[in-house]
Amino acid sequence: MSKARLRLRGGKLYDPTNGTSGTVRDVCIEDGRIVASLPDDAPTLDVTGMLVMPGGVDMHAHIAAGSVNQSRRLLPESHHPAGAPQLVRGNWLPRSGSDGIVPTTFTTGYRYAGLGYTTVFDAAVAPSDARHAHAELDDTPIIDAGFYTLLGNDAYLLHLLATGARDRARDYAAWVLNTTCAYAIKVVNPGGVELWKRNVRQVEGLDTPVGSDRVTPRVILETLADAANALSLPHALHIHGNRLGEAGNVETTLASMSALDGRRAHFTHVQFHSYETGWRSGARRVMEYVNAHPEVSIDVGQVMFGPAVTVTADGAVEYLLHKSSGKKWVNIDIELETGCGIVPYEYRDRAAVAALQWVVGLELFLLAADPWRVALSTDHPNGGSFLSYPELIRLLMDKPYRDECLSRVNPKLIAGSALVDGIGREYTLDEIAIITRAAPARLLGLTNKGHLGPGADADITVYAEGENAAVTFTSPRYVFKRGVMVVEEGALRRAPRGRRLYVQPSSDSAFRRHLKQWWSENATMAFENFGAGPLSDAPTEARGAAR
Amino acid sequence: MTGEIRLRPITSAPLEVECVQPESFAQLGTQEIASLPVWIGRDVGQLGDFFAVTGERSTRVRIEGDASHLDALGAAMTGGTLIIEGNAGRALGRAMRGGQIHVKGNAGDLVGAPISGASRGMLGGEIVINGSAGADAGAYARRGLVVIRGNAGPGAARGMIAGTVVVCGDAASEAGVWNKRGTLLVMGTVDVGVTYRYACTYRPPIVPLILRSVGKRFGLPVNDRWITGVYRRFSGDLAELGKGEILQWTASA
Amino acid sequence: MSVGARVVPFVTCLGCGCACDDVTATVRDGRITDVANACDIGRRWFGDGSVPSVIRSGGQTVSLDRAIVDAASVLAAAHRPLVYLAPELSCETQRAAVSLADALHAMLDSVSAATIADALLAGQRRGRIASTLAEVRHRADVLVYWGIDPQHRYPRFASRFAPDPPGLFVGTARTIVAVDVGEEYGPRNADLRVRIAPDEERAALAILRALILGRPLGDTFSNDLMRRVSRLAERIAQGKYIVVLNEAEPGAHRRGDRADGLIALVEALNASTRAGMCTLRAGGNRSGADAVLTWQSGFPMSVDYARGTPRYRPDVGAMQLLEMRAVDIALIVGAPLELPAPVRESLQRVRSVAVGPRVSETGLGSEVAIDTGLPGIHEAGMAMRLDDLPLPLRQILSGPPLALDVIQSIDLRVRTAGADSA
Repeated sequence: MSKARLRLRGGKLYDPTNGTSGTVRDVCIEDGRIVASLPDDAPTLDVTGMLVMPGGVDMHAHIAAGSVNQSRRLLPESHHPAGAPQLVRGNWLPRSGSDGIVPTTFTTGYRYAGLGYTTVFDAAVAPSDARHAHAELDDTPIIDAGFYTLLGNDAYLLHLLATGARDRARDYAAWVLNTTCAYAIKVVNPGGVELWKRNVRQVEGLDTPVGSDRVTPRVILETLADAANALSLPHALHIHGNRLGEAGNVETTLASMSALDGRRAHFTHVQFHSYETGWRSGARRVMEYVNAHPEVSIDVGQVMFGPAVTVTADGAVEYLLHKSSGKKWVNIDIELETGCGIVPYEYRDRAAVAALQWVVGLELFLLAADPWRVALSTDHPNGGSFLSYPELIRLLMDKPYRDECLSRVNPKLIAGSALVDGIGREYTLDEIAIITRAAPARLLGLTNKGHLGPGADADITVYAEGENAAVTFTSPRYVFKRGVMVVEEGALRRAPRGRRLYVQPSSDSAFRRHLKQWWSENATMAFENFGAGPLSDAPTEARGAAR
Repeated sequence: MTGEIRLRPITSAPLEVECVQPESFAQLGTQEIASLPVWIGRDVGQLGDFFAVTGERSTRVRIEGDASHLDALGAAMTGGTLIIEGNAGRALGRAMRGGQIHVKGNAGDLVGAPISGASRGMLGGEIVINGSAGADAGAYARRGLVVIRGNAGPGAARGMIAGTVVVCGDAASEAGVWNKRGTLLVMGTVDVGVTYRYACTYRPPIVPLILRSVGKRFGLPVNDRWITGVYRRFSGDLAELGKGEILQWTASA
Repeated sequence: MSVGARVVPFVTCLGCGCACDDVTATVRDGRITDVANACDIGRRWFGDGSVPSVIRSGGQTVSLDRAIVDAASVLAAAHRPLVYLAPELSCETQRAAVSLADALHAMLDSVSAATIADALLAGQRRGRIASTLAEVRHRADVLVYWGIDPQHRYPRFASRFAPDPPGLFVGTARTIVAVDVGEEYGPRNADLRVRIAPDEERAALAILRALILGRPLGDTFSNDLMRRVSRLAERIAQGKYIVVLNEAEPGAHRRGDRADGLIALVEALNASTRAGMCTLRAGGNRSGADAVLTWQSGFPMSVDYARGTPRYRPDVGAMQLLEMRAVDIALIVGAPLELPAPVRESLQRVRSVAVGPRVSETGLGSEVAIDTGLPGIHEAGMAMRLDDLPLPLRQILSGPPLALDVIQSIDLRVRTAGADSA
């Protein structure tokens, strides 16, 4: 039986995981995987002079399920028609959809692939909505995708903590991950979402009680971080901390990092959590901590000027945004588990706070001593669309361009920031390859993603290098997904189904009986009907944490 | 003086003609205008299939005849002038941003209203209707001016964020409901809702300015007594910001 | 239990939007003989699980393959096709039907346009503030029933969600507030009852919101409506977690302003306390259609694919197009018997293809009619509860062809034919 083979010849390879930085080297594909070599008569694609990188990996975006779909529903006026792509004949049905700040599912898959991204995680799915999330991902072609499931404001976990049964959290987390077919645990505003439902709108700090002195944001963070590590999950606890978007929240962010001192933990969209009192940049202090703590990783959540929609499980902050902006507002309190808040928003460079947010995000990137622990994200669609990644890459790579943009933003709140003080750093292509694919893949424990060593999935993006990085990264010449050429000569031509990325940790059966009892007394759906049901894809081979 | 583009309807089949954007006609010749795309269901035709087109390179567009079969005329219009000799259909000037629309006849429902599901209607521009308008004229407007020489249907000035609606005749029920900061000026009768509060009776300085300007520019007959008269001011809607108003003309103080 | 009986536990009932999933079905000799826990509506939904299985094309009984070929060719030849999603479809079938509408460049609409459209539009304009059913059960200390008594169309709502079962955060201490709007009565056992005439409703909602916001309404206590609404406002505002219940199904006095006003009320309450809405809906996976249409097209209803891309046209939905005689072929997917009478009558006047449960018995005179099984009885998959949360559908019986398979086959044929002729 003949094997599907292809040699990409003559490209400049950027594969930071394997220590390759701009070396001209062939990449060999066989049956969807990278192989060390191919016979000389294997078919060849000449990519001489082009940049060859692993497919992009987005570790924090909102692309599927309840909150995202509510955003789509809320914003009919922001949708633009997206025509069905002109695919070659195959087993896929090309689909039209809507573009805009929250594209529809098929269009999301096409757009990510068109940008050279081949792996994407939705960062926030309510456990009870998991089945819906998988259904949307089934309709999101090309990309391999998974999601993080929300814990930390759910009644059962809080009940365990309040009754001194913290040691059962590991089993509980395992059970939720297993039944929902999720990839990682996400905590949003630990305890704060539950407090919002009780009309407590402010979380003062890590020791604010949540219905019981035994339950605090600190305890929730420790418990879930320990659970993720004890289960050797491929990805650490994914943390959206308390007090998002508040001036002075950098203290809480640093306190949260310190609270987990020594534990592997990932802090997400840290840009939104790095403001000093009086709306000043707190990026310096955050990055000092991150640089000094190898067990901590972050993604940035950069703000890009233009339209956005803020969508989060953190309902309280959305109410404030609704009142201050006068924009329409969605709040859904979800099933004693979590929440959902949505407000459309626009970041304007002439607005003082938006300018500060833009500066803080760039500083987080530019002050990072170790790009392996800093992933590129805009927290799509919160800070801006994933389609703005090329523009963000240019800001990181091109200091004159960055300075030009900086000169246009509202200067009121950015005086004294590291960026205004003149960080000269320009990201290299190697570093861009790290923060957009190699690092997120490593932080996710995805052994077959984010690199082009033998055995890796043949998810490959080939760019025609130009003067302007934004142009280079906007339209790859070729994109391969598991060896299938999805983008050909700059046009999307194939749309194979992506695979689901998820983990299946096991939990103790005695514990499950206990949970089932609580469930039968309190839940509104049957224990047996909760979760996602079996998936057609096998669970992900991933490497858990050693620590 | 020609200086305008004339479109004479050939059919009365229901149509949406989004391509009729006066501002974009500044650089177009007659043939180019006549070949602009018009969708009917799944098919696309040309403007010239439905209208006899004369004139070129102007931002002043005149529809010569009845246009009640045309929905969403002037939708999202950004500038220029659209004149409709007859009646207009539904959603005239929907989500309009700038320019002028002048209807010699009546207009249907949803004059200057938002596109479906949006929270904002017209963002700017002027719509002047010599006749009457249907329901929800000026609904959810954020800026701009709607003048109805005749009567307004139910819900005029509904949910206005700001902007002005003038009704020279009577305003039907539910006028100004959920109004935030908008102004509804009514010369005839208006049923002021319970969440409006009577404030005072006075001569709002804005009234003569608006009426004289519109009267002069659009040739709209304006009763002198509306200019010299006094107005009862009701502030509301208190169920919203309460910063809007209904001004009702009264013959005497 | 007798020999030969088979028990299928945790079955989801689509008899109404509550989607109770604690039903245990017993099957004997290929028939459902019992559905434990189901209410009367649920029992009617399941019946004995038997449905007609007729496949007709051009008045003749034909094979399924023939019917699929005929359906595809009739639809592909249409000038202005309509794809109409009736209730009683799994999300999987809804997904396939949207794909087909996309391929056909059809107008796509669903029963939501004839039922919950006002609430969807108001929710898009103002936003949406909702509480899922576990939140209603465990937090709501004040329940405001706005023109609805769930007992009639949602018989188990009270016992499964509220007010009966104790809530973790409220116990059983709940205040029941009934707002009777004309003939639309709230529950009988209310602690407070306020009657409003249909033509007072919009004003009542405006007053209510103004009072909640603390706006000075002046000397208004001479006004009888104001007095009634003041009592209501006072009681509601005492709540720590208020849930406003309403209903999406057509009532005697449907007015667009109700949905708008209720959202405005709940929004205002959240300035000082917490509140959410819970909108009850009828059965057959209606919420699923809204969700599927939204994730595939961007819009929850009335999507026009005529130009090859989705366009939101709630002001020119299926009903208006049918009225204007603009549609030449309608593809009806789902159970036409569950459609509101005006919709059914409109669909009767146009040439159609029908694929769904009991379509052979609906008298639509469809050129092609393919009876299918029912979701959650014959077809496995997913459905959504009235609060948009997903539940599994299990297969209890085998039966007629599955709607999903039929629609996917038609879709594939339409697309292949299109590609061949291109």
